[in-house]
Amino acid sequence: MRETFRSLLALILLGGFLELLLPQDEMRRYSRLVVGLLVLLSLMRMVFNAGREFPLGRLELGLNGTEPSPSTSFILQEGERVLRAGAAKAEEKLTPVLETRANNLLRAVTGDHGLTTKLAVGEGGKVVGATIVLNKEPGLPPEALARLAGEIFGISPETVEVEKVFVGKGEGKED
Amino acid sequence: MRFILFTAVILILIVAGPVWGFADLASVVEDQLNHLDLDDFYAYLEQMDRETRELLPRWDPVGGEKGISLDFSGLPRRLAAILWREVVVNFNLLSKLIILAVIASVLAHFQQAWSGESLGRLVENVIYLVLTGLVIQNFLFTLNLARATLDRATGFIYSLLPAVFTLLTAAGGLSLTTICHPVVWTGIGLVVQVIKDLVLPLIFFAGTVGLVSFLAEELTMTRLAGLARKLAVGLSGLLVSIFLGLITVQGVSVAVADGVSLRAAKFVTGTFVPLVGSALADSMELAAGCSLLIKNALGAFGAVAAVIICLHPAVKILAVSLIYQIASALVQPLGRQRLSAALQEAGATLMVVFAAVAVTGLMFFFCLTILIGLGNMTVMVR
Repeated sequence: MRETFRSLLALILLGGFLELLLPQDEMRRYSRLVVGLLVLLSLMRMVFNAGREFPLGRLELGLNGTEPSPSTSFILQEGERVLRAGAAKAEEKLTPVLETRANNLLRAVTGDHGLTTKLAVGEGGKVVGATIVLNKEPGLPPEALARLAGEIFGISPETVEVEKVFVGKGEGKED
Repeated sequence: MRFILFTAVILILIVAGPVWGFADLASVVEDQLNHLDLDDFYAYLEQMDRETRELLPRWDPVGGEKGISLDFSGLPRRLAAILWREVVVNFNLLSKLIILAVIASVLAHFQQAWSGESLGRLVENVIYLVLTGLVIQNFLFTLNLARATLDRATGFIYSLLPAVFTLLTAAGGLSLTTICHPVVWTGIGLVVQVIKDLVLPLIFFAGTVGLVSFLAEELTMTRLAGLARKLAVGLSGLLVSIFLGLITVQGVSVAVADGVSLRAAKFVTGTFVPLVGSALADSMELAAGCSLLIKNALGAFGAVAAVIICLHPAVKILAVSLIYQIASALVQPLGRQRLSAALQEAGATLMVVFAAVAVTGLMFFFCLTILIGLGNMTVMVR
């Protein structure tokens, strides 16, 4: 291709110099015609060569993205990892707020204004358990309280511990 | 018992309102940034020359609403300064061109005085040949600069795209990433490769043939040169349009689907688990929102940076093109029409090289802007 292009340029230059060198007669007209035909042939050869020598390999390289691409599944996994990291951080920030809200809710239900709730946070920031510390006798059985807390936090009542820390009425722990 | 549960449910509805008033967005954004692999991207930024780096915007994803800061008022001034500096640097070329034209003109007048027409024409042709050699050398330098620019901009985009798609996935655009990632990666590679291997050689062909054909007055091939130039411009425009159209059409339909499925997931989580469910959904939403924030900042930075990476060398090419056009305008009064037309042709050819680089830069810009828009569309539907 490059060679054909060079020969085309050389032909055009030759045509230019022939015009200079040849006398102003029939000879010049014929030489112009011959050079014109040669240029035409050269152009046609170039078009055919362009079709044959087109760098398909390089185009394939382009199709592959010229640089190795990370696989889509890898990118999806990475995205999932980044999202989980962000969500875990958000839930880490959220836990104290959830505890406060749960305290307010359970205090309103039990009438125990000293009640405290501690949340156990597992992998990914999910609530996996809770401990409710009672300061006085609640108005409902501990099992019901555990069930209620389970419903609130979306966890099994078995993972909710109810502790009684008030004196005189059976201090202890109940699951 | 029933009363207690009823009271509890009422209380849950009261207290389960928005819980993110306190949320420290910056800490979540920072945490996500720490988990994001941006090593290639930072390494690429480090490799850039000082001048281009100075033009780039400052990227601060933790800076909240700012995201990126770009001196929009200062940028045109700095670009104009670069253009002027390049024009001044190329005054050397301008002086060479004008001196050659003056010599050719003086010799033509001597030829008239001595009546040695053939000798005069021969000398003029030799001078024209020297000029052609100078211009072709300049073409080659400019085309190499254009190739290097395309490689640099593509490398930059390739270092950025994995992070953008990772963030797009984190923002909820799973299907969008699955569909668009291969299309964008392949599309960019293909378009740039075609521009490098087909469009730029076509421009070189057009310029060289157009220039050389001025030498043989009876064997002009300016139409062929014009055709090659039009083909080059048309091909690059067509490829870029197809690529951008494809990612837009594919992305829009998928983005809506992503948004709807995310909304359904949030509804399920928030509805069936009373207090924690809504908090969980909120925290996921917050994390996705933060990913979106980083993606928008990164994407906007990338879009502007890609344009600047292409713009800086493009301005250099534009300066050389301007020099040729100035030389053409200055030479015309000397009466050497052929020389003036040839210089005009060279200027026009370099302008097409400038256009090819600029179109590629704009393609990168629009590609990243479309990706940002599609990610935002997912969230809007949600």
